Amino acid sequence: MARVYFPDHLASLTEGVRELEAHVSSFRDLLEWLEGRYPGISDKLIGKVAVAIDGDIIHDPFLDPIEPGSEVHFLYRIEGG
Amino acid sequence: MSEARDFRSIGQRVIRPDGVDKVTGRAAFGADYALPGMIYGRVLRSPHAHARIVSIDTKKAARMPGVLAVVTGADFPSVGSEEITGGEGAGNYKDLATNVMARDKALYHGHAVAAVAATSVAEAEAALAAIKVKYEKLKPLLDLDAAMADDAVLVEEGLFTSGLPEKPTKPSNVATVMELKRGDVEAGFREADIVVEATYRTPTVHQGYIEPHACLATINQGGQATIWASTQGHFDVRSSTAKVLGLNVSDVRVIPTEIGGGFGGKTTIYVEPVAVLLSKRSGRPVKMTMSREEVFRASGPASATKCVIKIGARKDGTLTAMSAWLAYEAGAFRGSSMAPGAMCVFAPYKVDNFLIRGFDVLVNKPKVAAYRAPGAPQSMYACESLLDELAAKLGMDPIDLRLKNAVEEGAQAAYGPKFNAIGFRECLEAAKRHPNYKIPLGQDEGRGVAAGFWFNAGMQSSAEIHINEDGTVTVIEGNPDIGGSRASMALMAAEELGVPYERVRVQIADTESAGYTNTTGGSRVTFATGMAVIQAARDIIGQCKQRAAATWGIDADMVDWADGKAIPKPGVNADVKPLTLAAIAANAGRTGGPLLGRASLNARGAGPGFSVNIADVRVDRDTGKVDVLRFTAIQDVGKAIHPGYVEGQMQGGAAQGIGWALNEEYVYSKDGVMENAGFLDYRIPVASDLPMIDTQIIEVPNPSHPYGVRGCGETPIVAPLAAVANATHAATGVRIRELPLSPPRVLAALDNAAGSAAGKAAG
Repeated sequence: MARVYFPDHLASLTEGVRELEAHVSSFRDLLEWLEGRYPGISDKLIGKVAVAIDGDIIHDPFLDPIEPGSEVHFLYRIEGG
Repeated sequence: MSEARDFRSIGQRVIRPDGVDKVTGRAAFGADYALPGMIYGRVLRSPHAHARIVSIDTKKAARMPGVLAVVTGADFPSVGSEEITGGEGAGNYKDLATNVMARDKALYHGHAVAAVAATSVAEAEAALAAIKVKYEKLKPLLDLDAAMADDAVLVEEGLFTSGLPEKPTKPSNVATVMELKRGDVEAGFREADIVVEATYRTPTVHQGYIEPHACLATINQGGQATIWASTQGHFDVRSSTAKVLGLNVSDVRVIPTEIGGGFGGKTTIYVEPVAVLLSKRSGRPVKMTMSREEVFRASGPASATKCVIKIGARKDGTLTAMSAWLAYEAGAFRGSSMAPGAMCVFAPYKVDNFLIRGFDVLVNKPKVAAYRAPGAPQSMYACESLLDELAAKLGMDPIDLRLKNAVEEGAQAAYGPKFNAIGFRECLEAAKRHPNYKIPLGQDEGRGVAAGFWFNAGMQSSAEIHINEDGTVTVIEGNPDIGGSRASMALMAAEELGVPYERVRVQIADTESAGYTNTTGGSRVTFATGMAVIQAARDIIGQCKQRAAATWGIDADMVDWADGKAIPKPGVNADVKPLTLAAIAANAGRTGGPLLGRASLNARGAGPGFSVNIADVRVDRDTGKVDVLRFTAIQDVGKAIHPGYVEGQMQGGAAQGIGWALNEEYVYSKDGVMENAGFLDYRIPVASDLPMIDTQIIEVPNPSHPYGVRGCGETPIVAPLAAVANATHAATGVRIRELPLSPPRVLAALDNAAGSAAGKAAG
């Protein structure tokens, strides 16, 4: 079971939910699961956010594994100079 | 993934392969390229900060001697609203296209409204003067307070704030609002024994790269364009130029030139699509270079900001609550670095209760661009200054206050995830022990401390390694070399392959010759592209083991690779001599063909970087001038691939941060015209302004990188603003909460303080 955290700007897409638990084994699975639960969230997420899985920030995640006990945080996409 | 090991090449201070050409003038930068038949493009820019473009008459200009093409916004294809997702920064292609060439409105002084290509620069400039533009002037918005007022004129009509819980009913100049929170901030402030709050402001500043934007572009009759450009990311130049001109990506080839600095400012495009369109219209190659004045007026500076910070603490220094209200100027189009600024502001500290609100605000100034750790210097200047004020009120050493609350491995970052291995505490402890922290100070001298943070980035990178027939090594990668990355890549390839650094050469390849690679930015290249180079080298080693096994007639899994040679594994009964890389390469034709290793990846796990700076200053009370006496930069870089270039990054970031703190600012007239668009009046520090910057590298390995690397290029600019401001307060006893601490501002603050003191004495 992974714990998934949403910042405020995405919580509007998750009916105000900022934290939930998900039985998934990859980010792809998580997206599918979220899309089934909160229609439209997938399109909104992809390309606009970064994700941290167990502390590692990932741009454009998809196939990345999610382990039982993992923490997944959706983040604002970070630019750099 | 980080492996404990002894390194042979990593950590050596080798000579950078591009260094001699750069210091002797042989290196070719953006403006150095030429083609037969080349002509020159120049841009007509708006004289108004905010105006409706009623009409543009180019007929006379088009007939002038030497003029071969004239274009305006009407000549560019319409670009629909679409988020830019391929690169690093926030943005929208419609805005990007409109920034390259204005359509119906000029949104800042210097906004491009037309362009000419002619056989000489003088002819092009004469033609610009003949273009007649009829404007309807509008009121410009030049600061955050005015732009955020309820009755403000709109920079973008029809812009509704995003990020609010309810869809707004009224348009606004606030493009985006974001919020980060944890716990109960009000309860946290009630728990506190002491609460401090203050407002800080920073001005618009420029990256100050020495080389202006420059490109040479040509497009053939088949519609295929080639662009030589000074850029941090030629793949982004390709995609953005294609989008702005309605071309297929495959019809744009971008060749990166040597680059004379970027610091985030060359992660976007300005003149490249204009040059391609002028080339298409004229049938000639077109060179375009921006003047220094144009760079200031029309490229992307860093946001001016207003930051309100509030901190509550117990008497022992434990933080109980923090709040931040952060407004960032975006310039004329949405997309400032507000979000990373908000994510960084409290990142170094453990606090159970916080609330961070950020605002991305449109004003009639150039669209901001990334500048080294974009967004972090401004918000962290405010937080680190207020922490200094808090430490003074608590009677605590400022390093001890930070140590009391410092994040460490496993702590939940304010921006969300838990930190893996980080070195903030190690930096603080090193600062506390540093001899520079103990040097006695004299009259009117003060010492300031501040911390810095940056996430660092991974993202997509590719690399190829070719083993040449003599065993030398060619690395091909797609990141322009800004901070010595050729040397870093060569060191990593040499380390993996077990060959001397001198036998490795690195080529920065164009968009058709290297695999897709994200921009040189986010402190990602040594980490992510370096990881690709390591993987490509391991690909080569795997092939070499197979070739050796085939040569020896044994299985490949019976072969090891050590010290640049294939050797039989211990216990393997084979009477063979080790095969060097050169020997395997020489025999490659007989064992399967050329040795070519490759890797492409989307790197995850860029370890965050923390820093601590110590600044000593002396303030001249008669003039208000602040001199930096000593400056000490301490930073965790995971593992320094080339310590000399890491120290250079730390020193360069310190120099830019000191400039931001003491002198740099865009000075605007009431009409929105920048009045100091040149290096004589926009004062960046020069060598004589600065002491030698002392550096101390801390190495807490990043567990997500084979060698422990974490990015190091951006963190160094974050802490100097507050370190210098805190030192200036320590020297004078006067807290100035607006940058820069230029002589007039400091003198006025000292006079005010003296006046107040005299008033109190008299009263």
